Amino acid sequence: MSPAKPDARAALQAGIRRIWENARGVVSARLDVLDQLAQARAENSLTPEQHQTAEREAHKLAGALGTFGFAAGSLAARELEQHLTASQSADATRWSELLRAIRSDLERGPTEPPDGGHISVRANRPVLLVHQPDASFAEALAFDTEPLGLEVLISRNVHELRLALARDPAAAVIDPWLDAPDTLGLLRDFTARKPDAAVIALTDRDQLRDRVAAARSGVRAFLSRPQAARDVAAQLYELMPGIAAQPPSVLVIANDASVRTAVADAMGEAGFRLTVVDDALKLWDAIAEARPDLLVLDADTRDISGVELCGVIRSDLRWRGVPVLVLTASADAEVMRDVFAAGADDVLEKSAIRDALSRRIRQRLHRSELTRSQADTDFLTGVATRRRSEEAIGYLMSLAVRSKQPVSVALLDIDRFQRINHEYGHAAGDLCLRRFAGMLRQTFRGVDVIARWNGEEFVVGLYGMAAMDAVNRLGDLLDRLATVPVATVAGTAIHVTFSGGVAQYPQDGQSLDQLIRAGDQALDRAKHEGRARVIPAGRTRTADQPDVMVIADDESVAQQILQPLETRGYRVQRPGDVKAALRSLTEHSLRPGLIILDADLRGHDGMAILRRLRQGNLLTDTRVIMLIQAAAEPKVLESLELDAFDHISKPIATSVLMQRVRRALA
Amino acid sequence: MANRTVLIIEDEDSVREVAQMSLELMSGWTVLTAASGGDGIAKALTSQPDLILLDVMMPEMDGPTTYRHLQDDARTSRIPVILLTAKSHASERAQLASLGVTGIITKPFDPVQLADQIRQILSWTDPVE
Repeated sequence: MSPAKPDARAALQAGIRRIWENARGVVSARLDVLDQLAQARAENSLTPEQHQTAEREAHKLAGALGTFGFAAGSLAARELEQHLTASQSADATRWSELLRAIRSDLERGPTEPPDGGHISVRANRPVLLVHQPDASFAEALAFDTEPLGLEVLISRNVHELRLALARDPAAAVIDPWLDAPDTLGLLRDFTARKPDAAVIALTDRDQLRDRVAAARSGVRAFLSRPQAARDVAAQLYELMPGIAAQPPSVLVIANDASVRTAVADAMGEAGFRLTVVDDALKLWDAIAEARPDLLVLDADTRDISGVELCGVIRSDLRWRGVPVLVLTASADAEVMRDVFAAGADDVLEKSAIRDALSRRIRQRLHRSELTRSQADTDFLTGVATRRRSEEAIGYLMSLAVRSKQPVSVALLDIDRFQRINHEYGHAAGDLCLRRFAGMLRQTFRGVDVIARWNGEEFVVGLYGMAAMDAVNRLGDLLDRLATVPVATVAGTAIHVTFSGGVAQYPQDGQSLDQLIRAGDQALDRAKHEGRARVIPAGRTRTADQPDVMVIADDESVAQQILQPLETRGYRVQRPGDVKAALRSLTEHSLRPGLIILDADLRGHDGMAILRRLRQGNLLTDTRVIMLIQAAAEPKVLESLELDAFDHISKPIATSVLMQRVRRALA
Repeated sequence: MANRTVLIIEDEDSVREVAQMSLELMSGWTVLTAASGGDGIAKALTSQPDLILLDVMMPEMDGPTTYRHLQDDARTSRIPVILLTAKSHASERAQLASLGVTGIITKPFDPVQLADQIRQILSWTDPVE
């Protein structure tokens, strides 16, 4: 919290009152305008322009009123704005009501302290409730959880908390001791009603009895402040798939029909996705299909017994972590020993299926969730494991289907990594992997999936980001790696680069496997074209035609263009001199998508070259961007008259360069 | 490190004044203001602030357009920008976030906490005056 001196606070409050005295006239005029427009609406004479004015005025009121301590007025103004945005034929009665609500709040006078950032209501989206004393944290968390598509509600006192809980949030980040003593009780009632909500406690306390009290109130994770918002977001993300995704998947393998029937009866309405298979030989297919959260095996089967199957599963890297429950005719000591020795987690006698099976499965699933977070984290780098990321990216893809957002999957491979191991030793190699993973985490958002795929290969899943945007973001990281060493070992700075391929869902593949394959092919091309670059899958220009030709004889200017373009996977050609450039364009019919032409060439006038290109009808297939000294506006105009597509002023900023290049090649 | 400069671009007089006073009193930073996108770009060029607080909805040139102009110019493209917006829906905010801004602060903001919010977004660690 702010350690500001109390007198600064008092001065601020006094100053806000003073500003309000001056501003209330403006606000009142705004309300008058909105009154007149509501009147016009009631008489059906509201023009589209007037409708837009009303929207704008309501928006301005919503933003300003809250700052001066008129929380209710601000909410009413926001509702009015949303009402106007949603429909061109706004309800005039509702409109007038909201205006009256604003006026009466103004008459009551401001409340202190002003209400900050209370975020309002919209139905049909899962709600994330944030009940924290620190508004900036709540904001940061809202920012970091954006791709989850949650509606964020921020509450600051018990009253607001009660209202917010009434909306059945799917997730909550709560300080149970903020505005005590009611909070814990409210929380307990809420989690009793909605046991699957992802409730995280974030608080200054961390005594054992506080943790116990929180756990009794249904809190699923307990965090002590301070915590970075992105880490809390990541934690939420861990807990969220269980809420938004399907119920747990249970795979049953039993060749005795009566066992299958008993299991199906017992679990029919228990809220599982149940897959029943009659033949142990179908195990792997069934597992790939059902991706079970738990397996039920029959110990007494022909050919391969459940106990043997259990051993097989425990020796498989991908599925060794799945809990296994074994059904037996009789659970005598010898059977129990065999079953547990094979790695099963639980045993149930067949006679108890009806009464106990679904409860035992629930207990087991709950316990495996607790241990899973460890198996989900790569021990060396702290990012997700491959197994976990497959699940998480799958979840992003299912979200994307509903929200019609793109998902990009990037495969990254650190260039010449073995050389680091050779030259500096494996400990240094490990350090580089850790640091590189850390840089990936800084580059992407808390809810993006970052995973170590294997060795020095990483995978990043990006929600709501098209492949070209991901390429750009990764290009920024490559730019950074060019100047910042990834690690320093015994006084030696180690620099690394990486190559990457990016595939976009659903364009480049319908399944994660297909996306990985497409990304892998692009990654191969990136390696082949010289490493230290990221290439989108599905780029189709043929090899002999470059994307961009650069005509610039100043070495530093040329490098400012070549490096970032190649990093981002563009094929760039730079002829030795102007003559060679013109020759390949005119005589050899080279047709790059774009020519970047420096206006200031030694011994040549860039404008004259542009004129020659135009006379040679070369500008029909190829666009030209001119590089022009800053503050040389006449040249900009001249180049545009000569049909240059765009210009970039020198010195060149990479962000500007990339934006213009993308536009020119679009 | 307390001697930072923040430029506020906001057309609404009262909001701009509150933000300015709040930052001056609670942080000790130097605060510059502009009432339109065009004026803001000019001030950003000449004063090279450490941060720009940019309102989203402004007449003539709105926040996103102003931001793009700032990004297009090498002299201002490195200055962090935090958007001030009354847009509170995640989808609208996601759209704004996708512009590539450094952060978003929702209006109405709490004047007592505005400086803290900015510090947190930018990881500025200067002590409070």
